[in-house]
Amino acid sequence: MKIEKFYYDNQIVKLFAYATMLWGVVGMLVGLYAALQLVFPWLSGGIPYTTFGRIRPLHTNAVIFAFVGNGIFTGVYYSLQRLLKSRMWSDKLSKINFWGWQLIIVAAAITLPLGFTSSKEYAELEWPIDIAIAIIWVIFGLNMMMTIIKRRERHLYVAIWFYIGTFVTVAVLHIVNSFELPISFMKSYSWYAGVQDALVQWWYGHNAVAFFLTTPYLGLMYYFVPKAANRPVYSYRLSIIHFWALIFLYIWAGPHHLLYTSLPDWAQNLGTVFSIMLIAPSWGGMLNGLLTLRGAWDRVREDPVLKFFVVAITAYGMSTFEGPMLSIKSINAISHFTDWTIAHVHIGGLGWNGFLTFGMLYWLIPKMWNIKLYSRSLANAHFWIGTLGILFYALPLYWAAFTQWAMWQEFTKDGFLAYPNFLETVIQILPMYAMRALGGLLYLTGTLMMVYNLGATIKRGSFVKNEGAEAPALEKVYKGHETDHWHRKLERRPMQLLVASLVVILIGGIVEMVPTFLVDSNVPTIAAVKPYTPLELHGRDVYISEGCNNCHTQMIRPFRHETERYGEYSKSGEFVYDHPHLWGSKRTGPDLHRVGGKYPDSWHYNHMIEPERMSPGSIMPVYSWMATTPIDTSMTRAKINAMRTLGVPYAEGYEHEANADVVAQQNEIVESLAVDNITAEPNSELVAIIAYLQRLGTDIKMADQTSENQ
Amino acid sequence: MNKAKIIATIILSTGALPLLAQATGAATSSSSFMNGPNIMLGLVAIAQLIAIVSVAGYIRKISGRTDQFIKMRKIKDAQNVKHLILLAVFTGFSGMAVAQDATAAAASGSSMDPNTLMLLVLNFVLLLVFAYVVRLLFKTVSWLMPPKTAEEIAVEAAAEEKQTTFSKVFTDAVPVEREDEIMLDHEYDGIRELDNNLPPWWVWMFYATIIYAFVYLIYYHVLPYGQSQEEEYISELKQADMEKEAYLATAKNLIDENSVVYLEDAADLAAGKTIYLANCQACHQADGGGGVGPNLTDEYWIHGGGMSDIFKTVKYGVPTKGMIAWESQLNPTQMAQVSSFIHSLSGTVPASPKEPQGEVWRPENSDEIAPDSLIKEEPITPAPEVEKEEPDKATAAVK
Repeated sequence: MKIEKFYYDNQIVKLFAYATMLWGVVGMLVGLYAALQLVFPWLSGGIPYTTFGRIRPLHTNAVIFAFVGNGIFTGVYYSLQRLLKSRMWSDKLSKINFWGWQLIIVAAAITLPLGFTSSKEYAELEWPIDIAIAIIWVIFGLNMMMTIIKRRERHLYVAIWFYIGTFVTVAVLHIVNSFELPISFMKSYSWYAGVQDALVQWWYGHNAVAFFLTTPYLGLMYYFVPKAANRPVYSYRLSIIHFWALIFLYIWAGPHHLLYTSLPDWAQNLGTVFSIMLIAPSWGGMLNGLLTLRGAWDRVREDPVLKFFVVAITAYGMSTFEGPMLSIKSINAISHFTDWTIAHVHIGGLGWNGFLTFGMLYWLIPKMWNIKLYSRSLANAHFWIGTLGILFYALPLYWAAFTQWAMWQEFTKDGFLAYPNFLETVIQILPMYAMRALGGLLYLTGTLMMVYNLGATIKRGSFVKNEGAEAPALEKVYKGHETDHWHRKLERRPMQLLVASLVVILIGGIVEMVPTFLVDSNVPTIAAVKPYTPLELHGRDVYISEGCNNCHTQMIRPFRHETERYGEYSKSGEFVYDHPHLWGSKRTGPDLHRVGGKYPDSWHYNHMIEPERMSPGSIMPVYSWMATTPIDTSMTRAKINAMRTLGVPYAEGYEHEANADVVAQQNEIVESLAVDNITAEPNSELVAIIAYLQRLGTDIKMADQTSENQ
Repeated sequence: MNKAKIIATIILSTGALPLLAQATGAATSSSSFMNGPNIMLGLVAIAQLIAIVSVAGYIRKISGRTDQFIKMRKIKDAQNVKHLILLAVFTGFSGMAVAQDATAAAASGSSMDPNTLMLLVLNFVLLLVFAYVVRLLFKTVSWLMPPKTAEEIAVEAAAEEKQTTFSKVFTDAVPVEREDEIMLDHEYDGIRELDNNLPPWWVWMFYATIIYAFVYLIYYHVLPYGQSQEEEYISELKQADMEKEAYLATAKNLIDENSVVYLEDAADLAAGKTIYLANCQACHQADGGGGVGPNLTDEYWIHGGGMSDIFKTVKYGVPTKGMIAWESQLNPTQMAQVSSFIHSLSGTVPASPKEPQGEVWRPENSDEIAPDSLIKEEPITPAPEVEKEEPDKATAAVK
């Protein structure tokens, strides 16, 4: 058998590693900025581009897709080549993958602050960028699959199963969730409406966590932990069962983000039980990681790389236990809409993803630069300050969540809300927000220490672009051993493995989505619910563009304290014209689903110009520019047409008259403001958003009133 | 420098943090601090504190002496400092958290006495500190002990062996020493794989969650017991209504628009003013001059200016015009107080009055009957001197 000489492409790994560090720092910095804004609202500076509603998606996208995304590519490009004993199939595709991905990140960093957003969480980017993501992702997948096909190693190691599963699932998730109808270069409407849109969104949102933050990182764990510890993987059988169980069960769990909402009960309950069943498969990964360290615990005490790995895997275990617990309805009633969810994802994000990335970089960079780490004690210091950062981040938020929930749901004996003013419950937890920002600062400080440490290592080392290696080519014919585990067969057939994982992940999504889309009884129609007026539609787009849904929900759950505070609970039939849905996931401000008619127009006007004028102590940013920014009425026609295409029953030809209705409604609002001594610009965003806010939830209110009158 | 000494001292001071927090908490809600359980908990806390101080003192004493200790200390110091920092952070943390909670709970007047809760947390924290100090003591003492004899080592090895048996049952793993037996024959870039059995507890947990899933779905979708979220909501409301009625039967908080009268009492008016400033001034100005909402000081009223009218407007709101219905946020007494305060504003001169809205309201041509007739003269010559000062004060505050 002829031994072949070949070279691993280290250059691409280096590029991705640099990008990981750069975007890590940027993403965390933006996160810190957002966290500080909650305590010091004036930090937004009174300009549109830096408001919390626009900055928060920037933070989540930066840390998920830029920091973790580049982390995935770093680890995959390094480990894949070595596990297959092959160079990447195409250097060109690797380069396109790298530069394409960075361009997408830059595009996100520009468009999100400018207010171009689809409003769907972790999928905020508008349609041209969505298409770019799909293309680059497929290029990555193609390059990976071709490398696998041209490999010199007969069987695929468990890490690669996870990479393949990640590739197919993320592609499916991204494409299905991004179905949208463009109306201009940077504006589109979600194909789905209301309940269906929410279901698709959280099927995606949950599985973005599952297949972007979890499975690829499990793959990295399976490579880097045994390498760094120099120990064999604990259990091959555990790998098999937890891989398949994990990807099969994960995809079902999305509806646990919609408990007690207008999603049908049966779908909610599926979300709950599949989340519970996820505990064991998730812990299978944790066990295989931690038990691989058997016999190496003495080194864990000294080696910073292993320390980071241990905390990362432990954080993974904790948050994958907490997640299912949060899927139990009675616990979810507390955690949903409060900071508990935020704390939970940061245990995963800072602990699991962050620390695993740090450990990987501390191991990888000295290796690729052929030198020892510049300072081990600095790395140890990073470990401690990072751990403290996680604690300081998460614990105050747990406390804040409990405090706020306790205040929300408390009634006095004579049946009144103990804290009728929502703002009171926010002001109460501001000290906790300050502590959380401190936690973030500590964590960021640690990251900067790492960048310095690795930078110094790189400076002193000598980098080899193409690392030589030798291995025999695969023989054409191969006969397995009789004693082999049945799964070995699949491990030497990459395409079958890919198809099998595709089938496994499609089942859950299909079972949950198809009935919700096709069976009418799941979304009972309400006759009183009518399409938005064109001005309200413009106002809704302002609401989306400003990212109001980052702090305000539009989903009143059927709890006494919510209906008492906000009004009748939300019904699925109310959202049938909502492309996209704007239910939101966190209440930093109060729910707005029934805010229509609650306050006069002038209240909203003053509140937008300066929130503190109407709600002293409010932490909402000022939106004074809305008073002078015009809405683009030339888009009215396209908007009406697009909505009709999506199934909203505007009359034929209405698009031609719509702007007359816009003017009429604008004048109505301007007149009502004039009564209260406010001179408003009719064609302004502020008037449009008032129109939208005053409409919210009123279809049902009116229905109630008529029934009362009868 | 004796680090053990410093450790002991710092532990003492951080341990005192929650105590401080408690003191401030107690100051804000001192009324109910001295009751049975609180005194008990306080005594326990003091006892714990004394125990901690004595143990820490003892450590300080013995650690200052021996050479053996000094030698050992050098190795262990680094570790101890780390523990210490973490500990200090946690104690300080819980101190702040306790203070935070105290204010929240004190403000809420919830069923759980905030002081009791605080003391519970405090005791828990102290217990942790105590456990740590005791551990430190044992460590210190063990460093002073002579080296182990062969016999002792054998005993310890046996104990370890026993532990391995336990972990075997627990994880069903092949021990590290014999792992070659289950090493699979392949390797990937130097990574080998063992073929350990699945940990039995893990397998059983997996089965349990699957059974849970079936039971859950059957309970909610097949058997008649599980409530849908609408049903849950309805029973929650029913329960709340019953509780509320039971409470109201014993309370005399039953003013409504038919029975409301002008409350002349200065205390009621002051309470009304507080409610007004918290809820109404955003739209009506502190002095009632109006802004988003109408002027409340002139004789023009959109929905009537009698006590009953005002009470009704406050209670049910005017949803179409943006006036909130306050009946879900203020109880009847509060609504009567704030209505009385508004009533008392009539005839005062605000800083920047809004132009009149509605019609001139005179008690005599009102449709209203009985209750309002009792106070017919009131609106024109509002009660005490307090009112006269209000606008000036408020204007000054605004300026």
